[in-house]
Amino acid sequence: MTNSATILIIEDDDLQYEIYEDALSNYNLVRVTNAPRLSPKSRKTRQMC
Amino acid sequence: MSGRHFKRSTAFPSPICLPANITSSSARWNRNCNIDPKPARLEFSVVLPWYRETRLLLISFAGLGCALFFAGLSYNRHRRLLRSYTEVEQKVAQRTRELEIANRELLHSQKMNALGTLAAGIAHDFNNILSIIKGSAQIIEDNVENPQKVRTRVDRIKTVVEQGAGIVKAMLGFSRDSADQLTACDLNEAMKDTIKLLGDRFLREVQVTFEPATDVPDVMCSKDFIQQILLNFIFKRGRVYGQRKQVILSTRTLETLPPGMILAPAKTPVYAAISVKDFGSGIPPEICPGFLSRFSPPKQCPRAAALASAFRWFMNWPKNSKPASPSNPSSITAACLLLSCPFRKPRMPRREPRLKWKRCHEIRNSKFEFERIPGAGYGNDICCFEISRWPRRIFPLQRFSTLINTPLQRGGGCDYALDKPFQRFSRRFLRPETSGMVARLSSNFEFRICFEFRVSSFGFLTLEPCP
Repeated sequence: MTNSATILIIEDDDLQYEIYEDALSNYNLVRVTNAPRLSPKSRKTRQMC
Repeated sequence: MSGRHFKRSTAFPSPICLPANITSSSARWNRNCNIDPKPARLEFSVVLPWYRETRLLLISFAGLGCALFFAGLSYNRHRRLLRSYTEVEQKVAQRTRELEIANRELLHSQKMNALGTLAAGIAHDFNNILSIIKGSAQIIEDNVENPQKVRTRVDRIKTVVEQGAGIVKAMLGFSRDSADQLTACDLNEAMKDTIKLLGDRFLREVQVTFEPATDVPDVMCSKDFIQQILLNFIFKRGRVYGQRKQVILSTRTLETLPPGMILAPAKTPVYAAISVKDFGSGIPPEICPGFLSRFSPPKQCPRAAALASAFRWFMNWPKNSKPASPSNPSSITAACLLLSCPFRKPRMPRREPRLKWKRCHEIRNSKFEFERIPGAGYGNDICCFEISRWPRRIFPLQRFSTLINTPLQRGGGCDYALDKPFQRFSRRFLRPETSGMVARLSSNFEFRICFEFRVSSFGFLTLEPCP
């Protein structure tokens, strides 16, 4: 398992998120579509980042 | 003297002896002294022509004068009445022209208002499109040696350009002033274009579901007029304050008009109906009857009757339906637009679904099979997803939350989803509160996906293709 950084992506558009996936393929991406959907886990992840 | 005539009488002097029954004054004698029982008399009479009769002349002249006076009076009144009629007709024609101009300006103003409301969403859509094009171009620059990635990015660019072209086309068609041009209009296409105009931002706040009927015939109308009505309906329905901001659009064909209509559209063999339903606060029951009676047609004013008729077309709540109660947030308010269809479209045979019903465990363990229609080409299709109840007992919670926790996205394109695992597809196209969600899938790769999810009351997730 790679020890790469995790990036939180707040993006609701699939095609744009796909671009993020392509551009940031070396990182772990956590995706939420909007801020209210941020789960405590992802919030914690964001704070860690 | 002229006019006086004398007749000679043969009266003799008094008689000598007279019968008892003959008096001396009345007896007349002839030449032989015999008593003439009918003696000749000299009568005197005056015969006067009418025009010499002064009283008659006076009365006649007085009557003639009166008759002439009243005839002149009535003629004068008649002429004034005709003149006033002409003035009234001129004023009516002028007011009618002004009203038509005002109606046109009002329609244009409503259009601009609607476009202004849509502008933010449309700008957001275009911003997304430009971002995708820019990002794709940068990825292509960085990965020129990777033909697979370049091809994918080029396909994405084509997809979003198609989307942008569709939005521009819908905007141009909507902003064009064609209210006076009646053309054969496909209602399903008009509704799809209207949904395109709404944009992603509006559709994220309000769930707009479109349930098209396959056999809706074309109607003679102005397409932007229909779109304007639909936008008004959707915006007003979308502003309701309730837990479920959901608008259901549907088209259907009617052979006969619903009973109890105050004003009916022109008689045609078949009618098309556009229905707009929402789950908002509803209409208070005390408003509906007065609302409808206010637009009953006054027979004396055909233009007002026509306006009332048009409004009845716009806001046609069936009389027999129970109005939604404002206290019930889940109540449905339906508005129906009825249109006469001079063209009868042949009824399309119902296509048998190719995908059979599957239970949840079958879906969980199986791959999706999509209907591939060669030649469907570039275009946008509407897919309806409907999930009404979660089968928590059957699905493991984590897996099911993965299935449903990502909102449905419009314009994502189903082409690349086909190549991905089921989990990714479901993550893209389902969301938890989905209940009648509209997805516009760009069928860039000659695919048409048309199915819906339903969860029955027994907790089975079933898969059924739309007809």
